[in-house]
Amino acid sequence: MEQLSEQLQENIEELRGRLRGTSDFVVREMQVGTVKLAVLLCEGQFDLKAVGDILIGPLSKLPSGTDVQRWLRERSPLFNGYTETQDIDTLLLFLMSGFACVLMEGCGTCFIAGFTGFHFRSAGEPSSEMNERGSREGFVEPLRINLSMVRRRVKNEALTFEIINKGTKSHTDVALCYMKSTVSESILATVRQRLKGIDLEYILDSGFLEPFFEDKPTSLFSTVGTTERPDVLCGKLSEGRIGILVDGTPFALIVPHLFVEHFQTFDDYSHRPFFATFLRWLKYLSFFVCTLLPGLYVGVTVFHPELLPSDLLLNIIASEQNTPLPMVLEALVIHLFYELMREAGLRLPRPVGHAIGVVGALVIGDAAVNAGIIGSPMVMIVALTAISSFVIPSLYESTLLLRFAFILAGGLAGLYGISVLCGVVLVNLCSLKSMGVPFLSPITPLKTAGLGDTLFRRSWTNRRNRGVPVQDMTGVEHE
Amino acid sequence: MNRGSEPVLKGKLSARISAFQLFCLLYLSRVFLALSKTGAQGEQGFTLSSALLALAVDMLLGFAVMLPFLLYMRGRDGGLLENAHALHPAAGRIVGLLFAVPSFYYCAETVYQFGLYYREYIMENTGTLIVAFLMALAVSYAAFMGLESVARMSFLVLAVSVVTFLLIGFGAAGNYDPIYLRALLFPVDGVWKQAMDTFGYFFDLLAFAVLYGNTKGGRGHSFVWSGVLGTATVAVLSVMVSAALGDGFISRVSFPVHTLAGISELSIFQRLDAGYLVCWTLLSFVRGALYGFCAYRCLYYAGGAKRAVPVFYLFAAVLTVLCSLFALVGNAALAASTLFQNGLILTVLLVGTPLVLFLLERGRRA
Repeated sequence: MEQLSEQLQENIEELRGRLRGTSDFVVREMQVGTVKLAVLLCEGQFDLKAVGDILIGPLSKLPSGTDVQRWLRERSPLFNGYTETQDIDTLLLFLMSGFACVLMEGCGTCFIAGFTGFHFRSAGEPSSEMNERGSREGFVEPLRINLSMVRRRVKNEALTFEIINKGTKSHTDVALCYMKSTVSESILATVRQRLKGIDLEYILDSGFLEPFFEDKPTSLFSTVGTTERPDVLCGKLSEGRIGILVDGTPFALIVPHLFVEHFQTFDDYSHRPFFATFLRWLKYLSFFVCTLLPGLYVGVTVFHPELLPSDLLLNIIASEQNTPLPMVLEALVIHLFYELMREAGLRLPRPVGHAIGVVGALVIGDAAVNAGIIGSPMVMIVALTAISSFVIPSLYESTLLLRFAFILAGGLAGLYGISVLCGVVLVNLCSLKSMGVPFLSPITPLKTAGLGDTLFRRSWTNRRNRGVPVQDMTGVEHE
Repeated sequence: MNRGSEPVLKGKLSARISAFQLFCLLYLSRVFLALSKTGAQGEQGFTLSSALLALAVDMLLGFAVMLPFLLYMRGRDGGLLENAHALHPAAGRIVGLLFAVPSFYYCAETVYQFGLYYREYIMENTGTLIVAFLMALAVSYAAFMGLESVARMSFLVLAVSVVTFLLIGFGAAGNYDPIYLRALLFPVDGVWKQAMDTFGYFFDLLAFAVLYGNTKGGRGHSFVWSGVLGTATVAVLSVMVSAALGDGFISRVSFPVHTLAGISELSIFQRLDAGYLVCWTLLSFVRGALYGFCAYRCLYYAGGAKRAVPVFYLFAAVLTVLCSLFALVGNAALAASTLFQNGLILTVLLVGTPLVLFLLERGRRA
């Protein structure tokens, strides 16, 4: 670790050299009596008015002979954070985080004062997690603002934040959040150990860290949850989970994460229990529809048409008999087209994005059917599948790949192929664990106390609906 | 993390499941019998009452056969394989090999039954080899995933199976004719012979012996309850089939519950044979995976309990070859079935092995 020297100019030159002449490195040199000093800033990261009013202005007006070091220490309560260091690397880290660094001639210590004032997006409703009720506030990019959002909601001394610097080149701040009274110490130790083992150079998003907390990063289903909502994160923390917030991204990671959580939304806890239960079952049904429906349609119509009611069968035959492609190919092609349009709509600028809907409706809904390339029942299947997949957006990636797999299985082997693939997927799901907690808990291994927030939603007045800490699920090895 | 690494696979081989999960596995294994045979297969002039009594006799025989094993295991850690291996590595190898053979047969037999059903009722023109091959691969994959995964899945399949049976039962209610149940009043005849002929179908005795060391607590209760409830389920399904299709039906036709599902109609579900198909496939999958895991575990000890990864590849290869053989050469399956059907091999293994190990340990101490 390189230390600062007592020569001011030498320190400034050293820093300029380390920063390779970058244009946003600002040096304000001044003199208080016989003492030469310099205030170092990173342009665009600091609050200009605050620096001028609280630091530079008063510094420049100090009478000759003032003990500047003592003056800075006495004035430190006015700063938004204060520390001292003799290490150049630490100085650079604070400098690039928006702190003002004061160096003095004849002193090998740097005085660091907090004046962070970079511009950031204001907290608005998270675009990825819309709710009917609940707050309209979502996480933003700066880490400390996100931490304050969590603290505002849980004013409990057990709420603990641990900030760690990760990324060998990006030096990104990563915060662990947990409730000390509820969290499992063994899970926490595992998270700390995994975080310590991350040796990435740049961490630009929480998604970069996600694979490091999964036991099977190649699995179709992620065992790490994400959220953009502080209220959701607080709810998870109360159940003994650990939140991981990364500076520069509004998406927090949550571990452990269970499969049933994909079907839970914050709104469920604000709605009446019977309605919330209905919505839960709707989501479970949507999962099966968006994963299995296209494959079942292909498999049953090709291999087991006798299972369909005769009227429906006749309609399907009438629609499909003139289409040129085999049923399985038709299904694959049309779903591929849909994914192309969805991806295009995601990347297009908003003013042009609405055109995708028009093109999609024309291409698929009208022209393709009229031209006899695909049958109208297939369009219905695609539409129903797409709508169902939007009901559980967090499972979109997994259901997409499974959908194609089931279409192939149904097209090649009918219900036999679909059933065998179901078995394989199910055993794969059963093998997953999230930080030692079985992924399909509390359904299997069965934990009846946890079912109150799974298959249905018990009322808040029911004392049994107080949540089960995730580490108390059946199948977890207790410390 | 390397999913196929030695420590990972060894961990899966020694994974522990709960008593309830063991119950689910053993119950499903026994209920599989009902979907393929209903316990009264192939005997002319057999009455429903005799068949039901034979089931009860088989259940009690099963408890009796496992008594020496339970007495031997009392107060010991681990299972039969671990204790044999601890006594002497050679003993572990021999016991592993002896239990691996029937485990492989039971797994391949499950895949064979699965393929037979598909060929007879679902896709008549499907190649027998491809059905068996794909199922063998799927079962090998499930065994690779480990006992914990299969055990967790078994609870879900149990729930699906129970719901399916209930729906089929209610759906077929319109076809029940009490006149067919007069067979329950017929004189009982040949119960002991029937019980002896079908005792070998109760593979779950072997699974219990192999997985004893992998289960935490309450193992005896799981075994007894799975036997009682499994036998009761087989009996109820037999009665339902007889009541809807006639007394002689269960003794003449394979997969009688499929036929029952075909005539069951329930409101919007219409025919329930599609639901039965799903239930059958999942049940076959779990049962095949269960005995596949047992075979893998026994083979691991037969190999000296050293290398888990190469043993797994050997297990998968043997299973695939066996399943393909049964699919291509129907007589091979029949011959093997004749060998294991009456339960003599199973009984000798389950009674003789603990006895021999006990005597060897006594001899060693002396």
